[in-house]
Amino acid sequence: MTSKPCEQRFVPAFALLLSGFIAWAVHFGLIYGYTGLLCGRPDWARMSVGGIGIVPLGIAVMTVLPLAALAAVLARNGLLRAGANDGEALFEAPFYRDVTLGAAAIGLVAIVWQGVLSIWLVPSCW
Amino acid sequence: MRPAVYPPKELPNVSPRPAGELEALERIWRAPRGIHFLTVVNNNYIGVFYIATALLFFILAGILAMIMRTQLAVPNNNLISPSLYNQLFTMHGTIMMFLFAVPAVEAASVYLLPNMQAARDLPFPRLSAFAFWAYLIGGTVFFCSLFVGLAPDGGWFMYPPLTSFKFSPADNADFWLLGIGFIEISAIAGAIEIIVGVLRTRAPGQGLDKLPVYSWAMLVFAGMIIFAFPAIIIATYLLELERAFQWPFFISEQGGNPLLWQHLFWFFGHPEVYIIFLPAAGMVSMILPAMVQAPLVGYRLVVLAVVGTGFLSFGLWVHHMFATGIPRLSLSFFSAASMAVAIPSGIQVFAWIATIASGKLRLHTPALFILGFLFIFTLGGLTGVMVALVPFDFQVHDTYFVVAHFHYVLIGGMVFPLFAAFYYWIPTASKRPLSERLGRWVFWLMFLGVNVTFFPMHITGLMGMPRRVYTYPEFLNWGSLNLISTVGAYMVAAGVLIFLIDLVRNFRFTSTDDAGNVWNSGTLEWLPAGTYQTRSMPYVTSREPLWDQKGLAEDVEAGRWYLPGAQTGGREALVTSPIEARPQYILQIPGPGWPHVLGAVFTAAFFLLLTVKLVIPALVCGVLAVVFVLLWMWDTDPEPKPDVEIGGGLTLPTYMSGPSSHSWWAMVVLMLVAGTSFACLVFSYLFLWTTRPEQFPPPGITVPELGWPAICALMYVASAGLVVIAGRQLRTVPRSGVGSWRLQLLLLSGAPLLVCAGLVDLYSQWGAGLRPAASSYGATVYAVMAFQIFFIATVTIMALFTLAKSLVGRINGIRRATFDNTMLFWLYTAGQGIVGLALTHLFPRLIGAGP
Repeated sequence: MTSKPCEQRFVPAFALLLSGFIAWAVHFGLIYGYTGLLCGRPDWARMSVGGIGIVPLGIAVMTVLPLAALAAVLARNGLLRAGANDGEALFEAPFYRDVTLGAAAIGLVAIVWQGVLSIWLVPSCW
Repeated sequence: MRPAVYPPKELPNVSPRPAGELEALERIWRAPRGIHFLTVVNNNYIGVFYIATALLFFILAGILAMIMRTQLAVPNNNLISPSLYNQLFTMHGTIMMFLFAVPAVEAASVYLLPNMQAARDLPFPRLSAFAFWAYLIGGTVFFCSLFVGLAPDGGWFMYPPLTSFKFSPADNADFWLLGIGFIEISAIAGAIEIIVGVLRTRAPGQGLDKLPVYSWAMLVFAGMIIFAFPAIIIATYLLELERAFQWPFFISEQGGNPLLWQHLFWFFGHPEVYIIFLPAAGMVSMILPAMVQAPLVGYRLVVLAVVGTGFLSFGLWVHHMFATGIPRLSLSFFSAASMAVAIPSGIQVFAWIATIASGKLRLHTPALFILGFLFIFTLGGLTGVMVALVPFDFQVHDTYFVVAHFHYVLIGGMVFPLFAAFYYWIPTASKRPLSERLGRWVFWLMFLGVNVTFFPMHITGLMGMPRRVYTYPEFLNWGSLNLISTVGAYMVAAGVLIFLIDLVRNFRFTSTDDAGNVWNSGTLEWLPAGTYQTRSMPYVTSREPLWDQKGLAEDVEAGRWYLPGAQTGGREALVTSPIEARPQYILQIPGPGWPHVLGAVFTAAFFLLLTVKLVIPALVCGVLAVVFVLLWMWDTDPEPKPDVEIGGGLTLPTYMSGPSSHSWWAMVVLMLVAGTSFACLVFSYLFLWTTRPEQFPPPGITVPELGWPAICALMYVASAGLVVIAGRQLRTVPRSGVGSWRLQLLLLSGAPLLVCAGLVDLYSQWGAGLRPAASSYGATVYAVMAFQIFFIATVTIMALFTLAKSLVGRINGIRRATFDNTMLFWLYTAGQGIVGLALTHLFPRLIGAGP
C-alpha cells in the first residue's frame, strides 16, 4: 500500500472523539455515588468545611475536575486552537474535529447543568 | 504484479472477469437445501427469518393488547379474570420490549448492515444464526406459558417483593426470570456481532465520516446493550437466587432492599427505550434523504446527537423511581439529565425537518410513516419532558397518563419507523415492492388508531385511572374514554392486518433477483446484489455513493472493484480498519453447519427446563449445549492461506491474530459485558451496605482471616502469570507439528490454580460461618463467589479446548487466535477474582468489621 500514513490507534482516537460525553459520564457517576454515600450517613452529610456543607463542596470539586480534565485533553490534542483544520492529522479533518468539539460542548452544558444547578437549587439530602 | 495504490486512482480490476469467477462465488454462497436449510448462516436469510419472527411476536403481543382493550371497553366488564389480565399485561409489555422491539431492530441490522457497508456478511455469521435460533425457540416457549396459566404476572418490570418466593410461589415469575435472562444473552451476542461488523467490515474508504447514520445508530445501540443489559442479567440472577434458594437480596427483614431491583432494572430499562429508538432514528435518517432526493442536513450534528443520546440515556434511570423516596439532590441529577436528553433528540428532529425542507418530499408510504413518526414521537417527547419534572411525576405516577406517554414514545419512535423501513427496504429482499395503495390504508389506520387509542389515556390518567386495573366502576366516568381507546386499538389492528395482506400478496423473498433501486436511493444497500452481497467492494468517496460516484453500480456488478471473486476459495469478507476503513486482511468466514443450531436448541432447553425445575434434564441439555458450542468453535480458527490480491495490486493476508483481529475485538467486547455485569454485582453489594450498614456483616459473623484471601490472590496472580508465559512460549511453536509440550503443561497447571483460588475462597467464607440464606450480606458475598466460580469454570473449559487444539496441531505461533481469546478471558477472570476478594474481604475491614 502507498500514500497515507498509518491510521491512528482506534481506542485513543475514539476516546478523544467521545471525550465530552465520557467526561459527563464520569461526572455523573461521581456525584451520584458521592451523594448516595453521604446522604445515607446523616452524620457525615452534616459535616462542613469552612461553613460550606461537605455535600455541595464535594459536588463542586467533582464538577470542576472533569471539566478541567476535558479542557486539558482537548488542548493537548490541539483542538482548542482556532483555524487548524487543514492539516494531515485525523482530528484536523472537519468531521472528527467538529464531532469532538460538539461532544465537548454538550458535555460541558450537561455537567454544568447537573453539577452547578443542583447545588444552587436543591437542598443537600433532606 | 502491479504496485499497490491506495486510495485507488483507477478501477482496481479489469473486466470482463475470468470465466467461472461469478459461478464460483454463487456456488460458495449458495444456501443449503432440504433439511440442511436450517443450518443456513448468510445474513440475507438469517436477517429475514429474524425480522419475520420479531413481526410474529409483535402480532402476538398485539392480540394480547386487543383482549385487554376489549376487557376495558366498558365498566365492570368480566370478559376475562383478574389473574389472566395480570398475565396479559405482563406478557404484552414483556413481549413487546424483549421479544419484539429489541430483536426487531437487531434483526433489521443483521439484514441491512452488510448491505449498507458492502460487506459480504457480518464477521460472525454463525453467532447471528445462534442468536436467532435461541431467540425463536426461547421466545416461542415463553409465549406458550400463557396457555398453561404459567405466564409471568408481576408486570413487565417484575418488582419484588411481589415477584419473590413469598408472594409469587408458582413458576410464573421463573419463566420471566430465566426466559428473559436467556433472551438477553441472545441480544448481547447480536450486539457483539454488530459492533465488530460496523467497525471492521466496511467498504474501503467508508471512514467514520462517511459511515451511514444507520451504522452509527447501530454502533451506539450495540454499545448501549453491552453496558445496559448486564444490569438486567444480574438483576434476574439475584432474584432467581432469592426465589430458588431464599437468598435475601430484596427482603427487608433480612437486610435486603427491594429498591436494589428497581435500580438494576431501570439501569437497563431506561437505556432500553433509547436502545429501541436510536436504530429507528437511524432508519429515518436513511429513508428521508431518498424520499426528498437530497442528502441529510446536519450529518455531523445527527451523529453527535445519536452518540449523545446513547450516553445521556444512562443518566435517566431514576426518573422511573421518583416516587420511591430517594434524596432530593439525587433526584435533581436525574431530572436534569432527563431534560438534557431532549436536546439531542431535538437536534435530530430539526435535522429531519430541515432535510424535508431542503428537497421535494415524495409522499410515498415510507414518507407517510416518517411524518407520522415525527408527529407521534414529538408528542411523546413533550409528555416525557412533563414527567421528567419531579412534582408532575408524583401526580401522574402509575396512571394512564404514563401509559399514554410511553406508547406515544415507543409506537411513534419505533413502530412507525419500522413500518417505514418495511415499505422502504422490502424491495431489496423481494421480487416486487409492497403496494402503495394498501400502504396508505395501513398508514392512516395506524396513525389515526394510535392517536384515538392513546390520546384519551392522557385524560383518563389525569382523572386518576391507575394502570394495570382489569376493570373499573361506572361512577368514575372513565367508560366513554376507555371505549374510544378500544375503538382506536381495533383501528390499529385493522392497519396491521392490511399490512399482513400486503405482505402475502407482494412479498416474494429473493437474494438474487430483487426489485432494485425503486426509490433512487444513494446508499450502498441498493447496489445490485446476490447471496454473496455485492459482486465487488467499491472504494467509497461520499455518504451517498450511488448519487455521487457515476457508474458505481455497473462497475461493482461487473467486478471492477475489490475482491470480485472468492480469492481464498471459500466464504470470505474484507476486514477494514475501524476509522478510515482501509483494507487490512481477508477474513475466512465459516459456512452453514449444525453445531450452532443444536447449541442454540440445547441452550434454550437448559434454561426452559430449569424454569420448570427439571434439574437433571436441564443439566444434560446444558452439557450438550457446551459440547455443540465447542464443536462449532472447533472450525472457526482456520488454517492461514497464502496472501491474496484483491485488485489494484493490493495483497492482503488471509489470517490475523492479536489486537488487529476481529476475534480479539469480539473478546474485548465480551469482556466489557463481563466487566459491566461484575460492576453491577459490586454495586449491589455496596448499595445494600449503604442502606443497612449494620448488617455488613451481621452481628455474630466475622470476616475470614486475611491469610485466606492472600492465598487466593497469589493463586490468581500465579495462574495469570502462567498463561502469559504460555503466550510467549507459543511464539516459538512452528507452523506445522502438534504443538509444544511446554505450552500444554503451562495450560494444564494454570487452570487448576484458578479453580483452587475459587474453592479456597468459598471454603474460607463457609468456615467463618457465613451462610447465604441467613442475611443479605451473606447472600451478596456468595453471589459474588458464585459469579466468579462460573467464570472459572468457563476458563477451565476454554483451557481444555485450547489444549485439545494444541494437541492436534491446530495452534501454533501464527494460528493463535484461539489461544489469544482464552488468554484474554483468563486474565480477565483472574483480575475479576482479585477485585472480588478485595470487595468481600478487605472492604468489610475498611468499614470496621474485621477481626
